[in-house]
Amino acid sequence: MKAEILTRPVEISLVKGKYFLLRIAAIVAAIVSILAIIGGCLAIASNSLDVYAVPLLFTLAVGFTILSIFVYRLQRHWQFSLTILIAAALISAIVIGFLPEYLQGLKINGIIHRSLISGLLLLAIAIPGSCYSLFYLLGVTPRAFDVSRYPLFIFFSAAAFTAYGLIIFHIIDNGASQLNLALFTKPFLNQTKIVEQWYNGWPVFSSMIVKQVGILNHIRGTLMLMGLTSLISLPIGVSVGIVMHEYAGPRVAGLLHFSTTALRSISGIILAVTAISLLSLPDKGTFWYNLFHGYGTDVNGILQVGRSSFLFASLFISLLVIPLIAKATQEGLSSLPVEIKEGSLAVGASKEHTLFHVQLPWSTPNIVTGLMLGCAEAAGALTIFFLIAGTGQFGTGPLNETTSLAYLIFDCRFGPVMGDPIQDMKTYQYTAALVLLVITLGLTVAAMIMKKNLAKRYKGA
Amino acid sequence: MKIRQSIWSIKTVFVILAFIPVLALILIAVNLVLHSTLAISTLGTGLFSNSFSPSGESGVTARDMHYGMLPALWGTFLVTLISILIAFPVSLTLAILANDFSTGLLNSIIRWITGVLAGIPPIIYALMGSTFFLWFFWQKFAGQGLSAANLPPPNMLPSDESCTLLGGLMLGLLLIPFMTPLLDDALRGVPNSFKEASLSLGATRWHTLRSVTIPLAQPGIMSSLLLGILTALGESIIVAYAIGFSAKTLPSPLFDVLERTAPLTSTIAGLAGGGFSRSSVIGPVGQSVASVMGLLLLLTAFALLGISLYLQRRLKKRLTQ
Repeated sequence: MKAEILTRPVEISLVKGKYFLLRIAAIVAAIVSILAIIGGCLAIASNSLDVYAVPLLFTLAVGFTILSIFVYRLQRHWQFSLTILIAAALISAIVIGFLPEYLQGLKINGIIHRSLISGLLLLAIAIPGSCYSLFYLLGVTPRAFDVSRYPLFIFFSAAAFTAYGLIIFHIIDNGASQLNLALFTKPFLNQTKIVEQWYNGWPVFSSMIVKQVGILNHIRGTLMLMGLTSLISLPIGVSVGIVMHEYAGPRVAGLLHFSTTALRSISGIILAVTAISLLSLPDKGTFWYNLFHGYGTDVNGILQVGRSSFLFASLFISLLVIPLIAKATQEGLSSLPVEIKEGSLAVGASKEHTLFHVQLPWSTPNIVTGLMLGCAEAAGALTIFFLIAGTGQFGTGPLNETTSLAYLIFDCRFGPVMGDPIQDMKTYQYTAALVLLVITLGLTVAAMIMKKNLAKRYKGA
Repeated sequence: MKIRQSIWSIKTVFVILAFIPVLALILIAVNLVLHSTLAISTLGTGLFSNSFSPSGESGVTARDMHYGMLPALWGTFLVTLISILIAFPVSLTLAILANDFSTGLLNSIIRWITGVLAGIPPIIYALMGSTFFLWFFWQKFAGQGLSAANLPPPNMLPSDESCTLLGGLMLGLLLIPFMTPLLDDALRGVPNSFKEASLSLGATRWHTLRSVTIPLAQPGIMSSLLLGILTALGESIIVAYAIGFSAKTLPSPLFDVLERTAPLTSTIAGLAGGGFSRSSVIGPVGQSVASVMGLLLLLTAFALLGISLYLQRRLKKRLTQ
């Protein structure tokens, strides 16, 4: 059909008057389609607005009929897709008109409101309709054919970005309302303290509950996880990158590539299962048990052994970060122009000297970019340790019990099931989410800016 | 001679450090295999029955243990299917828009936004799941006019802000910024000369996209689809939040996405133990079943990853010819 249109440009110029009318009809159809798209979005957003669905669908049918009549006058054949759209609009208008407000059946859990069906039908008919009316509006040219695809693209991307906008707005809205400075300066505490009092010359012990609300220890835990993870994963990741780029043959490089990719792609819960079975290896009370599980002292000065230590958790998180750093190192090494490397070798530097004084300094910005992404990953990586973390009220050193902002959010919902006394923090979960979002998005944006600057480097003659 | 020796030692250090990931992967696989033998030898074919209710297992014979993986497998299938159905079209659209259908500014805006969104950790989506439920699902699937609708009790939504569809939706939102750069790379890898040849022969940009770019980039698109499926299979925080930790049986009409059918990952989390004191009541066979499920996920991941890497290599070969 398109080909037929394109082969008759002379006829179109002859019938300029007819073409003007077609353009008017296309404008009408476009306006109706835009109204219908807005109506569809509103019907999905709010239940009560689906009363407009049936009139909008009839209007769509009328608009497309006018459009196809003028197309017929110009081209002397019925535009098949427009006819289908008209039929679909009419049929769905009739169907929606006869639907009850709630649909049920087949024993599914829940009943479906009519507005969902009518909203989706409106969108499904109006978006192709707007594409066609744009095509006829812009004069039936190849260029118009390209431009008429934009409504489709724009709708999908707008829908996706609206969802993310809602998420970020909701987090900022709820988090900022609970924000105060005291939250950042106090650690979270909820423990029972044994107080010794002297009464008639005899010591009397009574218990007192020490409660304090704050996210200081969770923030420090997040920073601790980031620091330990980068310490562990930096040497390993860089050497994986160097070996893959410099020393390994295709087979070994393939093995390393497969294993690093696999570590990132396999489910984090598998790593968690491995971590849990490793935790149960040492006997209770031994040095290794305390090292794996993490220990700290509570307000009474008694040793408390936790679920897992920061060191243990960051060992497993670094398995996720090593591939990022390895990839970044490899990219940096392969972006070095060959003449610089060969120049270094030609003036007599050994291969090792070239590696440490030319190749690695050149790829340092790449490695730092990878490390930043890895830190963001470590701040947000919860899958590995959400079964083995704690509240962090017994200190945040490398050997204390793991905690982080991400875990705090998880804990606010499942803490009572897991035996964490975290009920008081439930009001502040959005604040924790906001701080976590600021940390991870800040690191990601910084890494992206660095990557953009890297693209401007000297790329060789 | 001395110099050569020192190079050898540095190289050794690098090689030893570089093989730590390989060792870790082997350790993970061996650990899963060792721990799953107990469940396989005790339960046998009972592992694939349609009833799942973990217990303490004290004085319970193997016949009375209910550790069927069928509900979890079906839940994994449903969640992955929903999330891919949401994420794949949207991210393909975004990738096409960033590549062929936009000029400088819009192009870089889309790449920037997807890059920034990729940094959002999964727990944020999980936290927002219940809010989305209240905003959207409660309106559309249960309705505020519930009393007016006069419903029988089985047709009620689960009351704790969770259902399979919600898990799939939030997982889809996680997948979009993950898959868009991969698809973008696949489409950008097609040489410009091919596209220009098509355009110069009079094809529109849409026809070029449909008949030149996408067929040439097809292995890349398939491989990013597989990586997306892999991520959807493995994500566990979001599904634990939005669906729950276990499903007793298959949903009664199989496609009932408003029921809670927990996938493998969150079922593993419920069974595995650790500090999760709820699972301290689960016996050794139950914890071994977690390893069997983990092994299943690991094998699936290896298979999908192998296919994906093969497709990437084929794409590279196709484009360099």
